This record gives sequence, C-alpha cells and structure tokens, in this order.
Amino acid sequence: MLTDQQIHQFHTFGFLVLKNMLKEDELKVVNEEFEKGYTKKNKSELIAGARVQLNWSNLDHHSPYTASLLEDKRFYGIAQQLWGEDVIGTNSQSNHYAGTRSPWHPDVGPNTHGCKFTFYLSPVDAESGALRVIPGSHRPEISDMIRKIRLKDNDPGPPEDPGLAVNEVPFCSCDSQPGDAVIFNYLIWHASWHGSKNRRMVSLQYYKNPKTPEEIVALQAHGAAFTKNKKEKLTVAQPYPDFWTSNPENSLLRARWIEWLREWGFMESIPA
Amino acid sequence: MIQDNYRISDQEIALYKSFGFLVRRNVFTPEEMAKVNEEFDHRRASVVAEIDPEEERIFTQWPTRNPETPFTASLLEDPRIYVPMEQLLGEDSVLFQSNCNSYSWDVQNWHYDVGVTEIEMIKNVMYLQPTTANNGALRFIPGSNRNPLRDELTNMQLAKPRDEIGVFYEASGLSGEDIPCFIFESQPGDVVAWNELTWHAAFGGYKDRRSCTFNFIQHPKTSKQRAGVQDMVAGAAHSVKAQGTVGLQYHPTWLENPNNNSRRARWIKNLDEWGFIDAYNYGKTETK
Repeated sequence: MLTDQQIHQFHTFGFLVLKNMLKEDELKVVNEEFEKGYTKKNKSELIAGARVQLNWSNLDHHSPYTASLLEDKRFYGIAQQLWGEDVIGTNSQSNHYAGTRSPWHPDVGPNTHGCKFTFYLSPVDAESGALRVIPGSHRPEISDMIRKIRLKDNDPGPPEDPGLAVNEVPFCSCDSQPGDAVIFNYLIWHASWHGSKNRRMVSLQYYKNPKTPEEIVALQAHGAAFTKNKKEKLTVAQPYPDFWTSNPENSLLRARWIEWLREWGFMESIPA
Repeated sequence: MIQDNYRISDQEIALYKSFGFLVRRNVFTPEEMAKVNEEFDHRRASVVAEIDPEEERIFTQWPTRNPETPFTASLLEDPRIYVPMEQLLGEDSVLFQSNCNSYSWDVQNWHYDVGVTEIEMIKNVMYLQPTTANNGALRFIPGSNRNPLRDELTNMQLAKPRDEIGVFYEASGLSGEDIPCFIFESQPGDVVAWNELTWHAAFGGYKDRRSCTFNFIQHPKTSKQRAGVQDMVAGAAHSVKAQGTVGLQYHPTWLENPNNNSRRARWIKNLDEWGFIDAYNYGKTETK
C-alpha cells in the first residue's frame, strides 16, 4: 500500500516508481504467460505506428496468473487509495514493442481519471526504452500548453519545421528493473526512446468511477474515442474474453467491475 | 537549433511556455568557453583575495560587467543571448543582472528565484564545466512556474534551507534528489533559460563549480508590474548583501558605453529610470 506521502507525490507529479512489486517466482510466471500470449497473437495486428506494437489482453486462459494480478490487493488496493473504494479494474494487458520509440501522449482525454501500472520485463533506462514522463503534465494547465507544441510523430509540420522528436522534449526517466512497477495517471504525458526491438511490458489498468458531471461526460465520450483509436490503429478491437467474464469463482469484486463495464458500454471493446 | 539569425523556433517558444525553461545546446563554441574560463580564473583569484577566507559562502559571486572580464561582459550584448530573450519577453526587455558564480556548497536545494510574480524574468545560465545528475546538473520541475503547482510545492516545504528538513521530506523519507524532475546535463557552451519562478535545484556539486548568468526582465507596463519592479528595487541591497556579491553590478566602464551600443544605451536608460543602478550599485531602496 502507499503511504500518505506517496499518494501526495502521485497526485502532485502524476506518477510513482514502486520497487520490487513482483517477486522473482511471479516474474517467471508472468514471463512464461507473456510468451504464450505472444506466440498466440496474430502478428499482422500491429498497432500504433512508430511503436510497432502488438498488444493483447491477459484476461484470457493463456495467462491466468497475470489476469489475477488485476484483482490482487497489492495493486487494486493502491488504485483504491488513489481513486476511491469503488475504483474499477478494466484490463490487464501485454505489450510487445518492435519500434524503438513511443511518441509523446497522454492515454485519455481531460476528466477521465485512473492509473496504469506498467511492468517492464527487462531492465530499462532513459536510453533503452524506459518510460519517459513529463512530471506534473497530468494537470490541465500544463497539459493544455503541451498540446500547443508541434511534435514530429503526432502532428508533423513542413520539412523546414517538422516539430520536435521524442528526445527533444524534457523528461524524467522512470528507470526500472524487472519486478518494479511504474504507476502513472492516465493524463500524464509519456513516451519512450531507444527501446530494443523486443521490449516487453505488462500493464494493469484502473478507472475512477466517475462522479462529477464532467467525469461522466468524459467517460461517455471515451467509447467514441475508442472507435477513433481503432480507426487510427492505436489499439485493437477486442471484447472481454469469456475466461474472465464468466467469473467462475464468483468474485464479488470482479462481478462489480463486470457490471460497471456493461453499464458504461465497454463489454464489446476493452477501454484503451 | 540556433538559427542563423539567432532566433529560437516556434517550437522552442512553445516548450518554454509549457515547461518554464528552455534548453539550448552548443550556443557557444569550445574556444569561446575557454576564453570565459580563462577570464573566470583571473577574476576569481582577485575576488577571493578580497573576501574573508573564513566566511561561509554558498558561492563567490561577482558581476559580469567589469573590465577584468571583457569577453564575458561582451556576451551580454551577444545576439545569441538577447535575441531569444526579446522573443520571449518583448523587444523592450532589459538585461538587468549578470553574474559569475563559483560555488562552494554541494547542494542547491529546491527553490525558485524571485518573490515577485507580477513581472516575468528569465535567467540564462551556462556552466563552465560539464554537469551530470550526480555532478551539479541543474534540475527543473516542468510547469512549476505556474500555479497551483508552484504553491503546492511551497506548501510541501521543498524549499527548506540546508540542514533543515521540510515536512514532506521528513514524512516521506525522500530527499531533494528524489523529487521528480528534468535534469539538465550539460556541456560548456550549452545554455538553459528559465522563468525565475520555475522550481529548480542542483545536487552533487563541488568546490568551484562555475556558472555565468544573464537575467532579463520584461518592461513593466501595468501598475502591478511597476509595483513588482519597486519591490525588486527595495530588495536589491539585501540581495547583494545576502549573496555577498563582490563589485558593482553596473561597473562605471560599462555605464560609459564607449561604443554607443544602442541596446546598452536603452538598458542603461531603463535601469536608471527603474532605480536598479542606484539599488544594486549603491544600496538605495527607492525607485526614482
């Protein structure tokens, strides 16, 4: 669980690096399940341009242990501390990157709140594909300013002024070892640079249950954004696997999450 | 990329406005930096001879505008420095302060530079030695020149003086080095320009870590901005004393402006009108 100061730090800067969250034996299983998922994955379903990324949900029969992490109190307990008791676990995902960079982006639009735990399965630092973040950029007053910067990967300008490359934007590097988790606010701007062509990352995703009218409207719009992302090949359309939705152990927690996902229209497409 | 006309690009302007700082690489050549270092050696030796060796100092500081360092003083009127500042602060902005610093402490805790928020000021710094994260590189918290983040960091007591522990550090067990930030690792010739309200720090410094600064202020236009200038003038004498600056900020030979440089003439006129010359040189605390 997080201390009060870690919670404060997360909300101030938009991210935390948590050391040794997965033990060695757990990592071994996660790596094995990643390999099974990767083998099974249709390699033609590449997404997200420069990232040359394959992603798939872990909420399926090939990765029961990684799927279970979503309901593991070590992680959803932290998500509850950050976003309230009724936080929703929405996905556990694996990602394989063959591109050497991820362009700068936040994961969602304004007023959608939540966090992502990322676990890189090999050591990474600033020059080998670690997550780069702009501390504090989850704040609207900073994020809105960043949107005005022309970024070469996102909105290239004319040849004489194509915009800034990933490495030309000031950043803080979230260096990590296998077992460490980087947890970040969906709204924070993040990227990576100089990654290997076999970079592997597993993520756990949680959404705040929307409360304010702005949050409700934003989440309703999220479905539309998902369609757009699909069109732009930022993610793959994928309904929730029966393996997870059948909830064979009658987990009350999962049952509540499934109900929420149905209510908000996500059962046919896992939110990005 | 410094363009031929020394202007910074639209993207660099957008970066500065978003982050509160702007990194510019290779602004000065190695040969130029060698000259700056040579002048620094000579001037430092004469300054050190003037001060009490027992006095504990954060740094030994002297103004750039002095006849002993003519090349360094010439950089004030170098378009590589003033053109980007005029883009960011307006063509009528003024270079009001410029110092050379030889640091003694290994740590500059998190802080921002000025208490005046009404008027925008930009500090340009170039380090005369290479810097790295553990070797005195300046660090910045992006966007921390703006509220609410600026005040939140104040409330966390990130700026506690050396040998004191702020509430956040004490409760979290973190130290200044752990605060998330961008680290400006640099080579001599690189320059970073930042809004003086942006939170910054440096750790792992060493004796005689060297920097030169060029500080610009926008031309005050509103009554609030003019009041901000008055506050600065009122605090100037204290600032000079607290920092132990050796020598006059505006040396008479610089004020003579022997080559009739039009930009310098404008700066001198404004600095005199606003009361900076009397305040920094002679400790007067009232605007004219």
